[in-house]
Order: sequence, then structure tokens, then C-alpha cells
Amino acid sequence: MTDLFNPVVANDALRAEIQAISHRGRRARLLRSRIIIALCVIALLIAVIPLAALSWEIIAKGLPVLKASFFTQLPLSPNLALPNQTGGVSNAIIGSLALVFYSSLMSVPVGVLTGIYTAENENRTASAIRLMAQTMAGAPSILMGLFAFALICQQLGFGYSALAGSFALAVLMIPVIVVATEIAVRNVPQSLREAGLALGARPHTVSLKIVLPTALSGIVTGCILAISRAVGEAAPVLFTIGGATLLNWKPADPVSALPISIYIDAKSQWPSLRAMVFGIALVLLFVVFIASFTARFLVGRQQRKS
Amino acid sequence: MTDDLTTKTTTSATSSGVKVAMQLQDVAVSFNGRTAVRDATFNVAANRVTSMIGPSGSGKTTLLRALNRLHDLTPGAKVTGKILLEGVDIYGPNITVTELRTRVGMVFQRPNPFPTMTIYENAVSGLRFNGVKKKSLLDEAAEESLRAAALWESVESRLNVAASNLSGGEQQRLCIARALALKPEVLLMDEPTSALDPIATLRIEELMSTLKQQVTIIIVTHNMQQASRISDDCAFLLMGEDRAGELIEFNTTEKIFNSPIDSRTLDYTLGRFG
Amino acid sequence: MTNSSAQLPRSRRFVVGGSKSPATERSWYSYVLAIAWILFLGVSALFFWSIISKSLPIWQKQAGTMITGTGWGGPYGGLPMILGTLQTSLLALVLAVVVGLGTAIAIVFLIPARLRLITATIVELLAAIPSIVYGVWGLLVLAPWMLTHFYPFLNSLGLTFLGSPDLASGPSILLASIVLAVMILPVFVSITREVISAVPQDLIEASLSLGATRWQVIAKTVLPTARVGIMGAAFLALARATGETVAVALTIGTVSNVQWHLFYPGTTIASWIATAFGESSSVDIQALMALGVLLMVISLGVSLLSRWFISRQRKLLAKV
Repeated sequence: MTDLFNPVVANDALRAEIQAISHRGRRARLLRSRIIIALCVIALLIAVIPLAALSWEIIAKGLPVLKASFFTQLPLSPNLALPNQTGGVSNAIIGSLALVFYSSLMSVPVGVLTGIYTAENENRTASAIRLMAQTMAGAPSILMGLFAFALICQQLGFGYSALAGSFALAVLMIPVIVVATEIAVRNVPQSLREAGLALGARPHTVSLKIVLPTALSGIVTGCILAISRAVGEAAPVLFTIGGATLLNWKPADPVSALPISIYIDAKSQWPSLRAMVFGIALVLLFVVFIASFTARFLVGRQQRKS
Repeated sequence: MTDDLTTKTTTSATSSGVKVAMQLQDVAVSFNGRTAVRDATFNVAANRVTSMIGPSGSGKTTLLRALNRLHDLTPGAKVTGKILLEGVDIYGPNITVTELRTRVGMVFQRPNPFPTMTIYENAVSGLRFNGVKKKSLLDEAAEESLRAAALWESVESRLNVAASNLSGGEQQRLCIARALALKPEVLLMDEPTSALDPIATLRIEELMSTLKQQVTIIIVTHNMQQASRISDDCAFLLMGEDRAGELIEFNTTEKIFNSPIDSRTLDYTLGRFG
Repeated sequence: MTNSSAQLPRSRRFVVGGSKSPATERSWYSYVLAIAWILFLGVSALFFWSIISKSLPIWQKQAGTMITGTGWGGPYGGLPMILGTLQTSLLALVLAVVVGLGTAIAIVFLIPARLRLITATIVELLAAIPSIVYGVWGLLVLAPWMLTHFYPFLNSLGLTFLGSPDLASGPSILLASIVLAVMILPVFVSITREVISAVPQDLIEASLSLGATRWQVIAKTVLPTARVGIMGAAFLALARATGETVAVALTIGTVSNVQWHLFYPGTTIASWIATAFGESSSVDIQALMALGVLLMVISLGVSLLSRWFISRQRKLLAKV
């Protein structure tokens, strides 16, 4: 330590005392700071380990499973004679596609239009919708399953079906889309609307012709994220779609889904089925990452534009 | 005092016998290789107010922040030249930066008392950062610094109230008190009144003229009237051809405003640009 | 006719389809919007009503047992599930907060700036991984490793109250908690990171200028200023943990006993609903719906708290 800060310059008693105390503990304080900061970096490493391990395991064990038959064949049951006979997951792929399609059909129009309403209105209804959207977005996804079971399977008598599963997923997706749409529409500069109104356009024309096209990429991003979440969700479809080992896709048919295949096969006694689980998990990861990157790309493009 | 350091049109503002608090020798600051300010050479006289003026982009604030090494944590920032405090290089190998900063305090553009602390806690926060725990010492320093910042009378009865309850001007005076509590030799002020109304500004300016008896003040301001009203010495900076700020002229405020050597200084102080 | 300009000051937006806008501006468009939001509100209301009404017989017959009883069938006891939900999600929260706080601090203040964006992106990607994937990893990768390495290690530290590795089978409350912690870590880190990077730079510089060390800047300025938002992040992570179904169902073993030895299987509300549903009679399903109501109350309570904290942080930062 240098003698730069020699208390000689201190010309009053209070200053001398403060500087002496401050100088005395300085090394200890700096040391403590370094130790705790090192601990934070260690925490970062601890956080990275399981997440890296997870990604690595899924990729390393999943890739070998992804052969052509994985995508094209129906599932088969291994038996003692053929312990490695697993077939593929074409039924679950078709089922997941059907579920995503039907649930998007239900959730996107309702979600987007509701989001536009809350973005453009400032009244009690809008705040009630906003509160409900936030509440529903926080509800556990298993409850969507219970709801769809009670309403579609039992009350309306559809039984286990793609319709019930996609309804559960739609209930999950709508609040996500409402919130994303509201944000996207609100981000449209007020000056754009005013320009439209100043030209004599009627409010709904401005909304449809000016605001929506500008907000479109934000809305699409929200829908993509909602869909990617729906693809990976197991809980809402666990007891609503029934499961099927056939290539079912019609709304009233029971279907299978990728997360459900994982859920069932992961608990299987057969090592070959447990191995296949990693392949399905990898497919899900792939879908989710593609969706995230697309969303990021759209958001980035929008930000560059404005 | 060494006048041979002076270059260009810079002259020593300090007549012999006046103590020098800080010396800047050919100081330059660059970010990722891009020079932001350079050629800063002047002496800061103790117990005087030194102002740094110049149009935006001239590097006044950048230069000021070099004086308590606030650029240390900015990646890619590099300070060259020498900055001496009481004759010792503050970028020297043995300097503990936290100790330096207790000796060179700083007040910012925006009044920024710590929002989660009370008035009292704000006033003694610097002391607590530096290991002072004794209640009597904290109380004494808090009262002294709040008095020095002309805030004691109005807050004495509500020391345990959140600092956010104060008005903007009071908050800024609390920030001054917070810096003064550590008893620094030098107080850096970065446009301290730019977020305040005229009356609060006036009170801070009055405060500075009394404060300089106990602390050397270096103030950055974009307001020339303010610089001429409050400062004793004045550094004029300007953005050069390559968009890097440079020191044009340093002299007593009186000379900078009335008989500048460089024509650009005259143009600026007359409001012809900037 | 109401004067629509009178409403404008309340809102920056113009009014479309609002009930008070001039009749001439009412168009097919506003009716389409109205159909959408009525559908949304209707379905949402139906959501709560369906689950609650299906469980009513249970609440009328045996509300007390549902909350404090054990055993499933005959009277339905929800205590093991409620306790298990609290055990797993609180343990996961503690683990995630301890590691996540350090991680967020490291991301914002300690790692080089060019790594910051990529780390933040990775964290957000991890938050999007389906929970079933975490469950699979927990069951097929982590469980065998914990059984042979981690349980004996914890025992060797003297933590024998957790149970005996020899009696453990793989799925356990501890495993489920760790999987949950890994799962909610990205959620917690991503919000905490946002909250602490929103702390104004000049507050940080003010502390530095007072001679604070880097740790003091973080501990005395950044964390207190971000405190409310960090609470919000923690509660959001907790909400996610309490409602998590399949990742827990795969890793906890779903045994409906009150279990304090964390090496052994237990259950949670959500994982019990998922597991028991398959073999349930219609009365069983009423009881599961009753569990669903409990989960709804816990989860929505926690996520409402989280939202309240986060909005309070926004207001606080707006003032600073």
C-alpha cells in the first residue's frame, strides 16, 4: 500500500478518524468482495452443469434413435423374442400435428382478436380480460386437462379425442396469444394511427389496414411461442386424447402425442423403449428451439425495422 | 508549482503559493481504441472551483470520470497520461481504487439517492461502505455533512424517512452530503444542476461557493453562465476534427470569459456555436 | 350521444368498438372482436366453474379429510399431496434461488459483455424446454447416478435423516426437487437478470464513487433496489414448480404417503392427478377435481403474488 493516503493531509480530527478506519479494513473488504464474486461465478458454473448435461444426454442418446423407421413406423411392443422391436412414433407425430392444428384453429383467432381488443380499449371489460388472461397464463397445465376432460369428454360426450386434447391445449395457448398480441399492438406507434385517422379513415380501417400489418410479426411471434409450448405439453393431453397406436387424426378420434409417448415409454421395463424416449425428446427439443429462433428472428427484424 | 507542464495555449491558472489538488498531464481517454478526449493538461487548484465547459461531445464528462477512475469497470476504456492527486499518480500500481474514490467524491447529473435507504442511511452510506460502524462517528459525520450541504435544518426531524420523499433539489443536496461525509479532498460534479429547477440550481450554486473552503470542486457544466458565476478556474474543451474532444484552453474563469487566448474559446463563450 | 373525446385523456389509444364510441363507428369489426373476447371470458369462466362444480360433492361430504387426511379411496385424503407439493417446490425454490441469484449476478456484472447476450439467450431457450424432457432426464439419467453416488455422498456428510440409499429406489422427493430446481432455474435467472440489469447505472456509479467494493455495490445497492422484482421472480418460479406435473410424476414415484425422508418416493397434487386418473372411478375423479381446486388455489395465489411483486418493482424503478 502506498503512502499516498497519508493522514498528514487530514486537517481535521473527524477526517483523520474516518480515513484511518477506512484504511484499516480495506484489504479485508476487497478480499471478501473477491471471494463472494468468485462464488457467484461458481454458481454460474453449477447452473450450467445440469443444463449442459441434460442437453448433451438428450442429443447423444437421441441421435442414434432417429432412423427413418422412427418417423414412419407405428409403435410395436418389444417381447422376449424381439426385445429391440420398438417400431416408430408415426402415430404420435401425426397425433401431435393434428393436436397443434386443431388447437391453433381454436386459439389463434380468439387469442389474437381478444388481444387486439384489450390493446385498443381502456375500459373495465379490457382490464377484466387482461386480469383473466394473466390468471389463466399462470394456471397449471394439468388443470386444462381436467377442464377438457370434464367439459369435452364427459359433458359434451366426445370421450377421449383429438378434439378434447386440442381444446385443453387451446385453453393453454389463448392467454399466451392474448398477452403477446396486446403487447405487439400497443407497440405500434401512436403517430401511425393518428396519420390514418387524419386521412379520414375509420378506426376499424386504421386498425385492420395500418395497425395489424405493423404488429403482425409480434403477433406471429406470440403464436409461434404458444404453439411450441403446446407441442411439448404432456399434462393437458394426458387423459384427454386417449392414446392411439394407429395413424388417427380426425377430431373425434383418440390420438397419440409425442410428449405422451415419452411419458409412457420412459416408465417402460424395456431398455429399447427407454432408449427411444431420448429420440422423441430430441425431436421436441428441436421443434422448440426452431420455434424460439424463428421468434427471435422475427422480433429482431421488427426491431431493426422500427 | 510546475508551469513547464503547460502546453499549447494552456497557462497555469495558479499563481505560486496556491496549493494544487490535482494535476492532469496529457490525459487522454479512449474506448476500444477510439479516443474520446485527449490533450488534457492543467492543474486543479485546491479550495477553488474548477469548471469544465464545452459543447456536448467535447469529452468533459469523460474526462471528469477519469479523475476517480470510474472508467475502470468499462470494458475497453483506457486512460493514458498522468493524473496526480496530492502529487501521486492515481493510476499508479499501488493505488487501491476504492480508497482513491473516498478521497475524490462524485455527484451525478441526476439526483440519485439510494432509493431503498433513508435520508440518514444515504448520508452515512459511504462511511458504511468503508467500514465505519461506530454510531457516534456516523452521527457526527452525518450531521456535519448534512449541515455542509445546507440540508440539516430541513431534514433534522425526519432523518429516518425514505430519501425519495425529498424534492429534487434536496435529493441532490443529499447526494452532495453523501459524498462529503467521507471527507474527500476533491469533489467531482457532473452537471449537478441539469435536472433541477432554477431555484434549486441557485441553491446548489450558493452551496458550492461555501463548500470550496473545505473541498476542491471540479464541475462539468454545459451552462456557461453557471461556469462564469461559480468557478474560479475554467477548462474549455472542444470536439476536434476526428470527433475526439480536446482541451483548448485552461485559465482563470475571468480570463476565459473576458480575454481568452484562443479565438474558439471566444466564439463559444459568446454563444456563437455550441 | 356521449362525447368520445371526453374519454381520450384516459387512454393514449383511440377507442374501437367500445360501447361508448359513436354509433356510426360501430361496425362488423367491433362485433367480431366482441365475439372473441366473450368466447375467451366464457371459456375461462367455464374453466373455473367446471373444475369446482365437479369437485363439489367431495367438498360437501369430506372437506376436512380432503385437506388433512391421508389415504386415497374411502375418504380421500389430500395431505400427502399437499405436503409433497410444498416439500418439492420449496426445496426446488431454495436450490434455484441460491444458484440462480449468483448466476444472474455473474451474467450481469461479471462475465465479459460479449458473452452476456449469448448466455441470456441460452437461459431463455432452456426456459422453453418442455418439462417432460426434464422429467426424462431426471428419471433415466439423474436417478441412477443419484442412487449410486449422490445419496451415499449425502449420507457420508451425516445427513442420514434423509433416508438410506439401500432402501431408496431411484424416484424420490429429493430427485423430483432437484429436477424441479433445474427446471425453474432458467425462469428465475431470466427474470432476475432483467430486474437487476434494470437497476439504474448511476446508482451503481454512485456507490462506486463512495469507495464501495464490487460486492458492496451488488449487496448494498443492486440487490436492495431489485429486491421486490427478485421476490417476483422467485414466486413465479415457485408457481411453475407447484403446478408442474409430468416432470414430477416421472421422478417422485407417486406414493401417497406423508414422507419426510427425502430419499424415498412421495407425491404432489399435480403428479397424483396425472398418475391416479387412469384407474379412477367417477367418484375418484371428483376427488381428483377437488385436488385440482387445491392446486388452483395454491398456484394462482403464488402467481398473483409474483405478478404483484413484479409490477411493484416496475413502479419502484419508474420512480428511481
